[in-house]
Amino acid sequence: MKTDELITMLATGVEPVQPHVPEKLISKALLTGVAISFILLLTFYGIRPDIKEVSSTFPFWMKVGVPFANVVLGLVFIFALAHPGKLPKINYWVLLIPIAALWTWAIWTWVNADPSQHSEMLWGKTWRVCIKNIAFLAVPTAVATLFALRNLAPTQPMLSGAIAGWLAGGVGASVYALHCPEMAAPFLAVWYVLGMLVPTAIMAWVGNRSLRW
Amino acid sequence: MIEEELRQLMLMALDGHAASYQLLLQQTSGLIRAYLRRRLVRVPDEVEDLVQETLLAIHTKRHTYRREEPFTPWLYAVARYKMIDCLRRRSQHEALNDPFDDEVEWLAISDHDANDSKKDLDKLLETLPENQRLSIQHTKLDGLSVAETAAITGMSVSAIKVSVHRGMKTLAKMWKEQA
Repeated sequence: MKTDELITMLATGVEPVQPHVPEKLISKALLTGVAISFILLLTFYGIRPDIKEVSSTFPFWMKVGVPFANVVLGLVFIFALAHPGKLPKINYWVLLIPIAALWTWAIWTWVNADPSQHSEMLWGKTWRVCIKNIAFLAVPTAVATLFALRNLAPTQPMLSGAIAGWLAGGVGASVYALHCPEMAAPFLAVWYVLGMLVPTAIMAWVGNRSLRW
Repeated sequence: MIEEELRQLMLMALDGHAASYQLLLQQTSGLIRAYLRRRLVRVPDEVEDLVQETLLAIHTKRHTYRREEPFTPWLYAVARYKMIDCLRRRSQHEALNDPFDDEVEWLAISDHDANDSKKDLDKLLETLPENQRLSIQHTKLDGLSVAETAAITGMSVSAIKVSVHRGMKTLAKMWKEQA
């Protein structure tokens, strides 16, 4: 087929394009992911019974807030990555700020605690299931974002996948925080971060393969 | 200068103005061709294919252009992505070094005894995926418009355009190899 023929074919009867398609696709994906993740939480884990009492404490807000900050930052980058030629207005190291805040809090707690408490602070009672549960609750958002990205135009497939995974991990962790009984900063600094890194790694791999266009 | 001109055309095209879109694609195809020629000096044969791939990408991904932003950075980012993707495929293909892989299909076809060209074409068409086969059959053989084909097959207009292009490319390749 000659290039001129192709051009004529593409132009013939071209349909108008709605503005803000990417915004709609990404926000729809996020809302779907969060909603399904929340349903999974209610179905398989349940909300911790003392949610009312803990909901005004600092550890609880860190637990929900740090992953939530990851979601917000992830959205900023995903949005830029989905548009060819658009550079994010902020640098990628900004992604580390919430994690750095969490780690500062964790180290501060660690050095100020009696050494006999260290093991309890790090392992808690649920470290075995923490990574798995966060990764599980990240799945809906990861899948939904992947589909949204496939309809957009990410020029860096692996990085886009990784950021989508990081965002999904943030959703998984902040939803899981409503169930998880752990309140010690060192526990969150290790297991929550690992839980969010698992979807990041998987999605980097998936993105590299399935986000080509 | 060219930026502002192209951007105006793109804005019109996004509103569904076909003539502007045609002009835009014609002008950008020249820019893309020049861009790729400067970079693909060692594989000049790939350039025209890649120009077409980029035009298709511009078409199917045009909703990712943001109206308030400059057009040419978007355009070149798409062209650059398609070029990198093509080079990546090439290097993978050469690394595999399995020349028979691509030829199995047409070898099987050329086994058959086909005298008349219509029959021949039908056989080649049969080997295409269904959406490509139907798109070509309706638009190229039955003379329907893309919109009519869309109505018949239930595919989107864009999908049909892409299918026709991909299918025609495969057909041309098979035809050449068979001859």
